[in-house]
Amino acid sequence: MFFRFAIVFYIIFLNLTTHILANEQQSLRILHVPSYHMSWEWNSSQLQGFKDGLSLSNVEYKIVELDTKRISDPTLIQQKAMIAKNLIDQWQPDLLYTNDDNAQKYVAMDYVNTTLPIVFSAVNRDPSIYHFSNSSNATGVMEYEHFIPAINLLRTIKKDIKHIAVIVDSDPMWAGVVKRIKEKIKEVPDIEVTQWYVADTFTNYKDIMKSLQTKVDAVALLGVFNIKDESNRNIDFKEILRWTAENSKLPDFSFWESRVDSGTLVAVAISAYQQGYIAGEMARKILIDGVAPSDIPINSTEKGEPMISLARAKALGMNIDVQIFLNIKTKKQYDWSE
Amino acid sequence: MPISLTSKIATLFTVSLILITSIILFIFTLEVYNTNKNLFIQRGDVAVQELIYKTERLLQLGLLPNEFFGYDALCQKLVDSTEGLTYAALINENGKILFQSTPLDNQKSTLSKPEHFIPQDNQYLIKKPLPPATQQQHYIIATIDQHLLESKLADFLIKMLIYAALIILIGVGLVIHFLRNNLGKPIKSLISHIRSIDLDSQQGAQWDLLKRKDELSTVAITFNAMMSRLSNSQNSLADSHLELRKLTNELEERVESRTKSLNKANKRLYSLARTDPLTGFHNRTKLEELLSIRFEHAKRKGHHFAVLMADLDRFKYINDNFGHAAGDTALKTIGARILTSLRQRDSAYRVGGDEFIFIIEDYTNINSLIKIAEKIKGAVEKPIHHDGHILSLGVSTGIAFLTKEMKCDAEGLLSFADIAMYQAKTQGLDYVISKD
Repeated sequence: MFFRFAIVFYIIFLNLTTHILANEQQSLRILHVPSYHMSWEWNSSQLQGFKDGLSLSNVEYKIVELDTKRISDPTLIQQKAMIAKNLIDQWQPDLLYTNDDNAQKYVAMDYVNTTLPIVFSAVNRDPSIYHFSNSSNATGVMEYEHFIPAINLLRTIKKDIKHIAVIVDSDPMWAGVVKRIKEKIKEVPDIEVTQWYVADTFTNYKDIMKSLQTKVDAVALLGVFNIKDESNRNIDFKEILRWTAENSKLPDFSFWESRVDSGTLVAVAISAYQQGYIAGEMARKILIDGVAPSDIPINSTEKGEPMISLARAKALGMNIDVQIFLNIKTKKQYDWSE
Repeated sequence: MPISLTSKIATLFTVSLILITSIILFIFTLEVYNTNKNLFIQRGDVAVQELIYKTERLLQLGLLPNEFFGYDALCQKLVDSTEGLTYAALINENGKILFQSTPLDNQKSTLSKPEHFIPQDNQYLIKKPLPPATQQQHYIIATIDQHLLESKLADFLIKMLIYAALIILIGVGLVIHFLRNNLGKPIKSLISHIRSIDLDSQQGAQWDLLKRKDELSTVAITFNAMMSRLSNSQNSLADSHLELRKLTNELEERVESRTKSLNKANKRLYSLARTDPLTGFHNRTKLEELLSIRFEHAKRKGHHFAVLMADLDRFKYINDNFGHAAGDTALKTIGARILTSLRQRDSAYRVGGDEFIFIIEDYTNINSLIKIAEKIKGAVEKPIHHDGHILSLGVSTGIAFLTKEMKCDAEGLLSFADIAMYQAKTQGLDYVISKD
């Protein structure tokens, strides 16, 4: 009797062990297509957040960078997108994870309503532009900038701000951002956006900035990537922000940490990690729990991370309450001066 | 006014509770004081350490102490958020205050220079150095006001006292309520029951105490059982008492009857002891009793009486010749005759075999005495029939009477009668009246 029981128990145990090991060995394949380059913290943080949100060890990742931050030529971008598409055909990934708007535009939207699940993050434009709304296989996280919290943070530091200007580059993805800011500003009746500028060249940007010094109390810096030099090459945004820090006496604000690193005074930053983490959780639901992407609503991060550049505050000669430095992330120095 | 058991227990409980609470509060007070003191100091330490961390952070950011815009508010915030902390400041190595929270009034008044910190006696001072960031050493200082600690302790104690008083009140109320329901009412019920108890009616069968589930129900059951036994005993005792009363009555009746019989017997015995059986006359004993009394009475009241002493003639002859029975018959016959002839107030006595004495009361004169002597003579000399014989007897009578002039006693009067009777006998006379 005992031996019979032991044999049955051994067979069950062996089957279970084999099954678990088989599952462990059968790794998932995820193709990650960021709009920009992975050496940029914005992208690396998103991917890290995605991995943590997914929390699976048996995942094989392949990454195709579109690198549109540094390369704005559509032909080159299309070539990189094609690499990604070929990989999808050959490698047959279980899921496509795309960051920021360009990756949706050049890759993801071509796979809407196919059998390939798509999870996106940090998308600024209306998702319907990419046909994600009501699609069967796409869901993800929107990148909604924390405009009102950023205004409030700025007013904590400098109370008499009433008129602000907004500067964007020529990238069409900012259209959605501008639209949202125009809606949001209505919630703060005593603040007025008096100037909207699209800067396409550095010279143009400098002129705008110089002209604003006496016209407004603060400047919102949105797009500073698609600004070209005299040779029609994209200028590194850090260079633009350095010039701004060294030449502008207006307090400025934005919504990304990288801007504060480079000299923007304050930001309530969208967390790249949080964007990625929520996207990772969505991917887990699709891959592990078997939930259809269409059943997972498109989401956004709720809270931003406030931060300030102490170096810029000093440069502006502002006496900022020490409690601000203690309560929010403070950037001691410009990243370009380190 | 008697104090109820409930009141006594409630009072004892209250006093005990107050005493225990007082002791606990006293111990608690000491403990709380020490704990609060340590707690305030620890909190102060932690608060100062927190301020140090923040200041270090500011220094790490590259800010110099003179660039700590808003640090005063930071100190004030620390004071406001830390219980017991009354003052916090950043000072340099010379004691110069760089930033500070709002000083308390007593600190303001004792500051010789507003920009320098001087510790006070009634303060616990916490002073910690900052890591050297500049050429000067800086310190974070904080003070804990002793008065504040004591006032907080007092506030705490007042609250505790109020709570303790409330708890005591509630506790006492509950205990009184409990005692009333579980002791007072049952005892009252017990007393009422005992007061109204009627052994004959067997009350208590429907007693509320019997329904209880504690010792009092046992008391009630035991009491009822005891009352039942007592009732039975009382009934038994009443029966016994009735029986005893009956027996006593019977005994009393018997004793009364016996006493009556005895009295009757005594009277008869008395009478027999003083009566001659043959003649029905009194005997000598009765004569002696009566004579001395009568003699004294006569002396005091002047009431006179006479004594007749008679001696039968030929009585010895009859005894010798016809037998003693004949003598007895003669005596019986003579006695009966004389007794019928004497007045009611006069009395007759047999004092010898054939000698008789008669006491004659209230005689009118000598003749009346002579008439009596004649009656006696007639009663004796009348023939007596006995066994076919006729017995003939005579009598000699001596008469003596008491006069006012006579100064003699009873014996003397009898001796006069005896002498007169002897004279009559020797002279062959029927009677002789004493001349003495």
